[in-house]
Amino acid sequence: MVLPSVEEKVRELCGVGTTSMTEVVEHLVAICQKPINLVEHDGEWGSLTALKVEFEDRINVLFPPQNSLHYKLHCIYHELGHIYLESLDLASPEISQSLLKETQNAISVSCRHIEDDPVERWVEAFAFMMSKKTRAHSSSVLDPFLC
Amino acid sequence: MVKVKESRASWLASVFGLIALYVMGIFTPLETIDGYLGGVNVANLLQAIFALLAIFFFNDSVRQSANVPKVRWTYYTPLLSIPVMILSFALIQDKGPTASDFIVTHMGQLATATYSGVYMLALLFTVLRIIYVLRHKKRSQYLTFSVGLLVVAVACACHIAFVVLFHFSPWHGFAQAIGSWFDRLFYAGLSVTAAGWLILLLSKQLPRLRLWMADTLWLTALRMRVNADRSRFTPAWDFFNETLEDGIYKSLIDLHNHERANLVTFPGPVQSRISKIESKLETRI
Repeated sequence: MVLPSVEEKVRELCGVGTTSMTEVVEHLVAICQKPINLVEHDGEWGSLTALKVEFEDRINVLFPPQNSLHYKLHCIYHELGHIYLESLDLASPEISQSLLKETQNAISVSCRHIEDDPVERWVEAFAFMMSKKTRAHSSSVLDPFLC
Repeated sequence: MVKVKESRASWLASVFGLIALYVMGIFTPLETIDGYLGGVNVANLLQAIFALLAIFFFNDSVRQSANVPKVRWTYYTPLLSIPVMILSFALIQDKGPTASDFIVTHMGQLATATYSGVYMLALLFTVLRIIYVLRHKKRSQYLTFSVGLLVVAVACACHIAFVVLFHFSPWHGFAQAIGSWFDRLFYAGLSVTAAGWLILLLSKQLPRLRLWMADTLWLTALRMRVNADRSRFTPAWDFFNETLEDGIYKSLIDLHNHERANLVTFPGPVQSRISKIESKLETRI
């Protein structure tokens, strides 16, 4: 699996220059053709930083409450990176349909990634780039999604 | 030493510039250097190549500093001259012995005219490209810099005129009179350019350095102290490889990752300083 250049894909998604998370989510909604909900979930997160859950009719990105806005945005962008990459049909979801079936009614699921997974590196680079573009955009005005 | 990503090209330009000066015989006699290379003026070729690379990376540094995207063909065109220079230099007859006026004494040969002419055309192209790249920038800030480059461009044009007139016309005296202006104009232009670059650097970088340097060092040290990265070299690498703002951001994310992964929180004063840095990053623009 050869992943495309992050820079190029970010440019395709939201052009050159600055952007906001609202704009990025809007673009992804148009691409995926289903709503994407960013949901702050106050519960036990352990070492998890965010979670993407896709349903037939929507995608939820769950994230824990954070003191740091930058970190919160970064973790959400990481999950948005997964959504974007999967929409390009270049990387399959982390847990495939058949595996998902196996997890039906499970009370706990854990998985192992190979170290330095290229997909994880790609979405992390995506998060860095998007955060940079967002930083250049808002800074004094908080992103409406997170206010 | 202050190293941010956009200064990488400047460092490369400086290194190549220093090598070019060394090969010119500034520190060691030209005869000694060329002697190691066979005593047939290969030092002259190396000097031209390194000077060209220095100005190429300098051009890249200016491009990055002015936030101008790469336009591939114009960006790499000057480098195409290097194989042409090597080939034409190889075709010059009776290249030895080592001489500082090697070009003038061999200008009767077409290969020398090609070698020297292509070198100067590449320099002229690069210099004019830098001036063109800066055309929309604030005139007051870039004025000294652009004037210096313009003088260098005139110097290159003088040398090209010398090559063409000396080789293709009978007016050798006139050609040499024009050519004699090269050294004076070239070094005067380079001095003015360097002064202009220094003015730009100080006016642009100093406020950024004052704002971020202490935080960058503190965050890098913290990452190393708490072993936030898999390798102890990563924070140092980021410090040298990233722009100041990106480096700060990366360190912050890395430290938050460390907290989450190890389910720990930093002590109050550390948290407080991290929050202060984050708020500075938020209100930066």
